[in-house]
Amino acid sequence: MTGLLVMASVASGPPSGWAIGPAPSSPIQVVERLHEALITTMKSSDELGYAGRYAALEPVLADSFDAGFMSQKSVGRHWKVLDDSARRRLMSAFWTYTVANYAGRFDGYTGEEFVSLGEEESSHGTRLVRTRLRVPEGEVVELDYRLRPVDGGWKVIDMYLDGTVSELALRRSQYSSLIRREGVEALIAALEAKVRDFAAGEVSSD
Amino acid sequence: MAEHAKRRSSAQEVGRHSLTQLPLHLYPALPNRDHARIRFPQDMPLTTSILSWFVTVALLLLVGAHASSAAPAGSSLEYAEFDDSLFDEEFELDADNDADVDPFERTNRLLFGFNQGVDTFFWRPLTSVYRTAVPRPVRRGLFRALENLRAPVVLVNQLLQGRTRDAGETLGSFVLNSTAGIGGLFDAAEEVGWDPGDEDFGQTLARAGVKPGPYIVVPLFGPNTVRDGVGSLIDIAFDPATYLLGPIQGLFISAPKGFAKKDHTADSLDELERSSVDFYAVLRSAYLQNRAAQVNDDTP
Repeated sequence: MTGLLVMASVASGPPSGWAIGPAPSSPIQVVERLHEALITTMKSSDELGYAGRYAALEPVLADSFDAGFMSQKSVGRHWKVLDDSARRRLMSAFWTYTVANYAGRFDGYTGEEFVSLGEEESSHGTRLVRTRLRVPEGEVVELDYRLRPVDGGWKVIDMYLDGTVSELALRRSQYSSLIRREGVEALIAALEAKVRDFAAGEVSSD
Repeated sequence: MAEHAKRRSSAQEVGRHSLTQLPLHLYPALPNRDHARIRFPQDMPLTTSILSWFVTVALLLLVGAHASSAAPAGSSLEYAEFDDSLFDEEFELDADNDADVDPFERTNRLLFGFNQGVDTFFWRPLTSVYRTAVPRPVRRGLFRALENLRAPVVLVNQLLQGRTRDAGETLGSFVLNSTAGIGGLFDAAEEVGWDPGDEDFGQTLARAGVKPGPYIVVPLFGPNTVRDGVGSLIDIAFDPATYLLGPIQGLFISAPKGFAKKDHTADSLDELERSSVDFYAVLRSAYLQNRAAQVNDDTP
């Protein structure tokens, strides 16, 4: 429910939604609101279609994630040498990719359930929220979130699949490698191509 | 719609087990100290890179052949402390420099391409036939049964690491799964709350303070580090099947093992590939994170 309210209240695009938006509450509440929105979207995924899921998830994701921080960290040391325009386009491509990834993959509901186990202190003033994704008749996937304080609230800066695989580290490994070998424009183009793939995946499956 | 069904079933197979089997985990959170901090030139010429790769692998085989009983000293174990490199400026400037982790990147990428080719033209068609012919519960059972056969190797490594309690659970699980679980087809130990464990000689070496060394892609076998490569060779020596079966008969066990593992991890890997812009880099990171976590998670 809260997820829906948040979705209705914030309707802006990523760059403006990053720093502002309603100051969320505790780390665990931020994560639970995100999970609620994911489940809600999954349940009505067929009616929404890819574009609908994208539109529904984008504001919630903008509210839950510290996209600026994440896109910056995802290119590691390369960030320092990028000019303003490249940084802006990279952040925008990073964000579109992030939302498209959710919209493309959370495309059906088969009784999945998120359970929060609690939160704990982590280094550098961050907090770790431990959760489980239960898939009926499947195994349990451990999914942890790391949040840092932003503007009096908390925002997700990383996710750990199976409790240990850092999503941000996976991205940094790819992005910095691609920038080093082919330059930042190649990375932006690759992210945009992935977004098209996610959108097209929907078209072909309907 | 077919896509939906496929993704759903794939979501179901991405379980805890399949994820720990494969690649995935938080490497950059640990590595500064966990790495051989040897600097290699970033843009090594291809021939030099190939040559260095061969020298490394040759050394690896040599060490594997000779160091059969390298039991770690129990007291001097050194654990890498959890170090949050995400916020570590030094890490940002330095250690995510791929040359530190992956000095043979050019050769590794070639071999990765080769492995991907083998995957596309050999494993995938085979896996798809297997999936059509054999129902999922049966496939899961077979996977479990083959995993159950790893128990002796896991047990030896737990004992080498001085983890007698875990070794007890591994032994108990093995006995229970082999009997009540009908040769491991069913996970009877899970009902009792026993964990069959997941130790290998690479982890044993890590606990004795051995650094992972450079990342290497081994033809047909995929991601590895020098330490873990040596580890897997030594694990062969710990496997009773090595002595009970001849090389040809051994193939009849190890081929299905590799195959069942392929089948088990294929969906998670597909998912990872679909969302990645550089599959080589994502697998490297996932593999290294996973290994680092396996080594660090089980601090007693």
